[in-house]
Amino acid sequence: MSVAAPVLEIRDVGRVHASRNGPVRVLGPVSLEVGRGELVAIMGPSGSGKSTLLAIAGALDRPTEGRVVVAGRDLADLSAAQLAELRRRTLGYVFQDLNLLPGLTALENVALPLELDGASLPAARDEARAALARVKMQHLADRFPEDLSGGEQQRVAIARAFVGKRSMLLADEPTGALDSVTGELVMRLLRDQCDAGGTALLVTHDATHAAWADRVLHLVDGRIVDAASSPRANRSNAVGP
Amino acid sequence: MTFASGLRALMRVEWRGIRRHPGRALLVVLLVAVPVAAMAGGSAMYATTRRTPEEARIQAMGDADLRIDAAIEPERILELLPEAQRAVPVAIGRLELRAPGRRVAARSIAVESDALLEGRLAHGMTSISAGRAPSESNEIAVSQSVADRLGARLEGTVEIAGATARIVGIAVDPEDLASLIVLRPNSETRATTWLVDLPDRGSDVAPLAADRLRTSGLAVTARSEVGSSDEFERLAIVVIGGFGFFEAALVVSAAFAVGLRRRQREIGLLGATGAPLGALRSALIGSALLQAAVGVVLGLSVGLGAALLLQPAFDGWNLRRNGELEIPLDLIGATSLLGLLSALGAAVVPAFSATRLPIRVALSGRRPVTEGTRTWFAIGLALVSLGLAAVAFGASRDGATAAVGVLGGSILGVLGLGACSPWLLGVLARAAAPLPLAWRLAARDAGRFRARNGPVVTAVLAGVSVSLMLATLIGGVERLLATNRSPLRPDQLFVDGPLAETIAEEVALELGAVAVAPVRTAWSGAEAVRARFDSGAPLGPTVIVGDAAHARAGAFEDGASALAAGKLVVLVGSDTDRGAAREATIALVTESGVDLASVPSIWLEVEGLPSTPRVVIGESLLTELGLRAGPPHRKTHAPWLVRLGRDATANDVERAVAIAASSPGSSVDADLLLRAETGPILAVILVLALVTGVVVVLVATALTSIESAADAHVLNLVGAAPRVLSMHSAARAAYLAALGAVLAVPAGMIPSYGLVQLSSARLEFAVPWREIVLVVFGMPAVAFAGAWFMARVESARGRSRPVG
Repeated sequence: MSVAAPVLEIRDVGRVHASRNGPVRVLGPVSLEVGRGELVAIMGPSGSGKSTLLAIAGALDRPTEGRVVVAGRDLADLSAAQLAELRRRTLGYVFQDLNLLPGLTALENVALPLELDGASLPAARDEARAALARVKMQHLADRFPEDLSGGEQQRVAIARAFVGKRSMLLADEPTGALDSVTGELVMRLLRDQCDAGGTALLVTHDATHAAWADRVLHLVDGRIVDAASSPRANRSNAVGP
Repeated sequence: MTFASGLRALMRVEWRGIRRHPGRALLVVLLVAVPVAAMAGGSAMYATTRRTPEEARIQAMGDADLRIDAAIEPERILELLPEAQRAVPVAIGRLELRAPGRRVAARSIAVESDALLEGRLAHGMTSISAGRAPSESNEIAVSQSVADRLGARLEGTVEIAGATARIVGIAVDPEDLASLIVLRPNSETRATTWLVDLPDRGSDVAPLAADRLRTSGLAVTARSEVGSSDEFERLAIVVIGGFGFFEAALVVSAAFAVGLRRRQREIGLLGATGAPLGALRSALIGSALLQAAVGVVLGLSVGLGAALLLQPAFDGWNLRRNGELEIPLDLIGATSLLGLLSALGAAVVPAFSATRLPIRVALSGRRPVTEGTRTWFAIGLALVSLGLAAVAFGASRDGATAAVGVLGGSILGVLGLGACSPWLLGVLARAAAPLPLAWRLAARDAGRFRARNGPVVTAVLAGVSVSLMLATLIGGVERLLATNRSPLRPDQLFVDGPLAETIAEEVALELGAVAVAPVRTAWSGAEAVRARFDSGAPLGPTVIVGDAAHARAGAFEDGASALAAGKLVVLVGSDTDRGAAREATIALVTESGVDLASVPSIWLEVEGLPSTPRVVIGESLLTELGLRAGPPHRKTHAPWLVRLGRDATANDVERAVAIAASSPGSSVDADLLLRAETGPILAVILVLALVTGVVVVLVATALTSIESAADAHVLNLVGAAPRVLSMHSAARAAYLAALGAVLAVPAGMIPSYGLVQLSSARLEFAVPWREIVLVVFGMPAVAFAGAWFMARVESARGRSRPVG
């Protein structure tokens, strides 16, 4: 996979938590670059700092050291309002569960970032329908999350993550609560989005799902101990893992 | 604009949340509606039942511009007031009316019958509710209370000064329905009062005329000088109403905080989706305002509706003609605004707290642990001190300054005690090790998550403190009213008339009395003997002559030996001010002030007597001082006192009256007939206040039940029995309610102290121990029972809640 310019740059980033027993380092220092169209998987044992790295990359948490640059913008220089704007226009998130607002339909959940960004309701919903169509969920647009299966909810979340001009997705165990078939389906969607020009950073415990990535990073005790290209990236045929 | 469109999208999320969870919204709506209903209904009741200055003027002087209280001839009035257009004579005095076995002393008003008509000068001072105004000299109209006491009715007859009078009408004093009045035509009675009409009411003519007449030595009242509003009432409404809304805001704030805590992950998700912080906070607050608006409308409807339904009963409560329901639009408007502002204030802090949480923490659903509360404890103590100072300052002022001082100080006091609660929760948590599991969990959890439990404790303390504040004020009012009680104990009967001795003995035999004795006063020649302190201040009415029999009848047997030893006995009631001077030596003087002797005395407290002291002298000292015993003032025969072995019942009184009826001119009085009725209003207010406190505690209980769901889930997973789960939830609720109730004691005493100091009626400040014990033990019990019940219901449903 060719990367024209890094969409995400993480330079010597570390995270230290204060606790009653003194400071605890949970991450770093780590450095990482992710280019456009890349799907990067992060693996490691529990407590290795995977979710912390993802949160810092996605501007959900601030590092105690180092720099994070997303789409050319240093996150340390951004105010809270600018960070919120980044989350509306550039970054999308998919979590293991509870991704959708229970009071909104699938269509409204996907349209939400656009509405928050000032788009008119009709325009936002048109974009949302297109996003749902890309994940083949357009026929369930008017359903509420409680009426959707886990896999369907994750697909809607992916649609929201890439709606509009959003180009980077951060996913924390998106297939953790799904069966293997549905999990494979979700990974295919992620792969398709990246192939279409999107970028994704994925935390997973599942090696078969990590095999969909272009690169797999292994974290142990907050440090990257291995950063290898995935078997998929080594094949010339980019269809399937 | 991003903010506007973001706000629109987020308000849609809020609206959908309300529709999905109507119960949560209903809780907020009710928490706003209840104080709004109380204030709206209370304002309407107050506006309807209070006596306006104009009503006071009408009662005092009808439609007249001047009232001259002097027995002068009409020619003199014209001489002094040539501009007077009309002058109506009124003779006001006291009359004793008698019926077989009964007598009543009533206020007599003698006035031309047509002067009471509309447009005439005496119109409104009294009115005729049945029959007609008397026009002949042998006709009278009496108030219903007089008719009841005499056992008389319309067209019946009574005896006045030996002559028969026919009752042709039932008179009413609109400002005092229970008053004892008899209306007579002013045919022969010399006027004691003149009602005068001047040509121009709208200017200073009347006050200037009044000043002119006063220089002639006449007692004159101008219309504009009558009727001033009781400022204490207004201050009390402002303080109590403002405090009530503040309490509601705290409870609503606690409800919001818990609600937003449950939505922590959802709010984190909105943040992760890019919702602008300002729009998110605005949406949360806007949602609160929307619910508050519904609560205001509901509260106004319920409050004014209740006032309308209760309006027919008002006259019976305050014994005056209150008229149609009045709705004070200014107070209603202020109430509505306060309701909205309370919700706004209540939502701001939880909204900011919920959105200040880092997105990642919010998304995790974890509960942040609170640290560092010593600073808040110091701040709390400072606020309490400041609050006390503000209340003391306000209590020494009047008007708006007084209201701001007392109300502001009270709020600071509550906030200060609330700020202290997290530290207290921490201290108690550390001491919780020896407690049983459920209580230990409750104390530890409350101590770890003080930021969440603090608002619940504060809400309970605010809600319960209002109950204690009202209990203190009502206790003071009741003590004040008790000083107006009758001079008789509930177990005494007073027999009067020429054959009082015979009748008293017959009554004693019939009812099984324990003592009978004559009531005689001490005389020095033709003057009655009085008592006074060494300082010259008077002590009680005329001195009573007593012996052992009188001591038994008067329920002061302990004083018999002192009387025999030549000492004076001073009898005081149990509600007499304990700080009043009680000197060992009392001076006896004549009515004209001539000193007779200084005599040693003992002071005895007699249960059931009014607070005004009575001085009793024994026969031996009477003789030694050359005094004599005789009937009290203006009586030819000494009345007799009968003491029963129990409180006299209505049946006892009827039997005694029947015995007295056999002897013309005889009558029987009892405490039952004489004491002033306070009406149920005070008791209703106190009950409502306590019920409000219970409602607040139950709301707080529901909130803590929500918060305990996570721990309950874990307990359930490890196999805790349903009883343990119920105990865990109940202990948590009771623990927080107990702390809130204890803190409510000083929180309630602070504003009530200020209000008592401000009262012009000199209310007594006394700590309401009975109510304090009730709330300190009762409110935790209510919380315990409520949470236990909720936990059992949840257990029966078999529903397990997700963690966090």
